[in-house]
Amino acid sequence: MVYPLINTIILSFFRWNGFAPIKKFLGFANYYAVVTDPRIWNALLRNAIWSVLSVFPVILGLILAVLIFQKKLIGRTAFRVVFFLPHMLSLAIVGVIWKWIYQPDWGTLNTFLSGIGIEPVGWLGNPSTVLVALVTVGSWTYYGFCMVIFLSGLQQIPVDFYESAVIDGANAYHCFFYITIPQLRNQLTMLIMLTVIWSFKVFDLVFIMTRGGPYGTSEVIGFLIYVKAFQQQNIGYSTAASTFLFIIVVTGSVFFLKYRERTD
Amino acid sequence: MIRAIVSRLLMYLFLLFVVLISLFPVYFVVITSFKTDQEVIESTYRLPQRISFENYDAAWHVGRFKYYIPNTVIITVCTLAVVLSLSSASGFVLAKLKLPFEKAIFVFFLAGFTVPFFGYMVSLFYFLKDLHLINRRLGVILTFGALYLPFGIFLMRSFFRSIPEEMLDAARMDGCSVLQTLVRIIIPLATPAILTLIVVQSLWSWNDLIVPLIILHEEKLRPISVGLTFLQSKYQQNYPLTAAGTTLSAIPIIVIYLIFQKQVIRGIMQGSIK
Repeated sequence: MVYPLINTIILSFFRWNGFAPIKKFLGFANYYAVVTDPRIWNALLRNAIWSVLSVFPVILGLILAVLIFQKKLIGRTAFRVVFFLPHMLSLAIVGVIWKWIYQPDWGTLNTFLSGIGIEPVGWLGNPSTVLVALVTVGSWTYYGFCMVIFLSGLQQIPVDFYESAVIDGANAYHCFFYITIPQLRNQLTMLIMLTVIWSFKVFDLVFIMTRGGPYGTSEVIGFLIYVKAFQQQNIGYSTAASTFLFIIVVTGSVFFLKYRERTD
Repeated sequence: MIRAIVSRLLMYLFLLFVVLISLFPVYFVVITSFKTDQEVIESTYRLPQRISFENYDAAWHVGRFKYYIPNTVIITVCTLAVVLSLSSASGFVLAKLKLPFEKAIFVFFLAGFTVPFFGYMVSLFYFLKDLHLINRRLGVILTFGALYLPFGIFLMRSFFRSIPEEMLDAARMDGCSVLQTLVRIIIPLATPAILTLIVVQSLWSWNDLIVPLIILHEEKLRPISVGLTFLQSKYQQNYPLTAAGTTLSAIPIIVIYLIFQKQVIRGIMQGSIK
């Protein structure tokens, strides 16, 4: 763990193709190349968009958790098991299935859309839809996870909170916005943090479904590091990008935790 | 009154809609795996006319699942053995014995949680290459072991801390050595924690893509996750074959999930910091 991490930083100062015995020392040139490369910034921007769009599964997870937390609901366990199922499947499986759903000619989505009179779209082949299509797949595996996190939080809210609120004349909306949401703030912060961290680690879905295409419009940072290292043998650039990502993720987490401490 | 009924009805409709979204892709891949090419085109969404396992046979031989599945099992089982033995031993030591720098050691292990894999992927590859572990399943097993150990230690340590000191003192007084205490008293008590660990780590190593992708280049050594990815690009037109492969890879996960539902959900929540 420690050795590879330090070696990453060392390698990032050299030019190396991965097998030649000679490594050429470049100083910060790799970092300069990384920081000035629009490909990196575009990839990072896509990771950022990914994390922003992932708000939707978090909200859906919250709604589902509140709905199936009701004692009088029939089939609570069954709903929970089903909603969490997509999170269980490996992203390789998920990617394969959703590639068919997005298939332009006979894929489920276009069949459905043409049924209600909308022109078919080449979801994964179109630069303007590919990212949203990928995030949608990511979200499909994510709302069940958010739901169980919120459910664990809901279990910790004392029932008297609601009882006394109802005595004071609060309706369901008041209860939700003034009791449930504030009481779930730990779960909310945790999910926001995880969403951001995971969004910057995205790799599997992109690798399986688009390989960064079309024309690199779905390249994310993890995929770029992989391609530079293992397909273009540009180790210096790749390790510099790794270190850069590492710094971003760690700084992000530290700032976030500091902010949390201050607001608590 | 009518308003209450309508809102309940709407709620159930919404829940059923999400059920449909959650299950449809799974339904779709399972029915496709039993169909012929012809049926896929003619009745894409209907149930297959007959149950035939031809596609599974093809996935096993032509699709190379005869390599992928044993490989995945070997990797998963060995990873489990490594993680389980090391994490219960070090979790026990960290929780129960007085060590110098105890806190520092624990923080050091925990740091393994937070560092993103892409931060050291490239140099990990060359590190393994120097050790001649590239293109060997052992390389994947050791990497998984290193990656999953922090979570294992974290889980086992917090479990061991919950065992009362008096119980261990009593054992010591009756003449148990440290090792005997571990084997006779603690491990039997630890069954729920160990079960959580087993379930979660098997899922992780079963599903991981990037580690075997960079380490194993030979088709005969690949696990399911990598194999499936290449199967789809290789047999792009053969949907039933790919569907059968996908179903085969999903069955163990779904079965484990349905049996150990509680442990799985709890374990995944605890391990989500990964």
